[in-house]
Amino acid sequence: MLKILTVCGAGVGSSMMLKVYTQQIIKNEKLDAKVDATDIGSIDPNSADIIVTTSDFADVLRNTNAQVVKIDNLTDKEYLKTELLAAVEKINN
Amino acid sequence: MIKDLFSKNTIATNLNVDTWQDAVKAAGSLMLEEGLIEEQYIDSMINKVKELGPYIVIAPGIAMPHSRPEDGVNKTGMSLITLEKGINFGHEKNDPVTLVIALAAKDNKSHISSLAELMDVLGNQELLNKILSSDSSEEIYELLNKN
Repeated sequence: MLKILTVCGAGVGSSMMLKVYTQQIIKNEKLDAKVDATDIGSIDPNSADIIVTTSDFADVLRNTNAQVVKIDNLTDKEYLKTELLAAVEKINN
Repeated sequence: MIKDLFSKNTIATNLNVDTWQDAVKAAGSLMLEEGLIEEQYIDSMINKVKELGPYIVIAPGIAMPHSRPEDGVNKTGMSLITLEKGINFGHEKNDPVTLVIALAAKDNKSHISSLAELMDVLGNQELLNKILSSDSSEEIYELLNKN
């Protein structure tokens, strides 16, 4: 099972929203994955296969082994879906 | 439900501010007046941006300042302000900001489904344009609850 982390600054806003959207995508695409939300202060970057976050934090996370999905527009679900599926594909190959 | 998060009192339109700090303060004051937060929460929202960067600009033109539950939240809720002129928060792609939606969350769960509904409204370009061009908090309240 893939482990996905959604990350933001405080852990109550963007990361939770990204978690909701990611869960919807997992369900619709029937992916074998689990998603948790966390904040940038308490994340263990190597504990996930995929990290979904905003661009600001993607720079902080550049040393991780995980696939990092960068989101600039939280209202653009279609973009998240495309990027997430591409990351899953990379891991599976 | 989105109406669990907003009241007509926490919506204001066409505010004239000069800095992103003042925009956050204006949105924060509405939550303060409603008793959703303690005063310290406003500074805390500003400090989060200083500390972590302008990631709160979550979509083109839209900022969602917030801090953590323990930073002075009394009750979960949001405020919404539209700005007369666009303000730069220092975001690479999403500046300038004309819509500020401040969030006070009592925990990291109860508000999430309402927040997801709100994102659907903001992702609807037609509804968003109506919200941005409205000068009535009453009308914005109706638009938010239309979905």
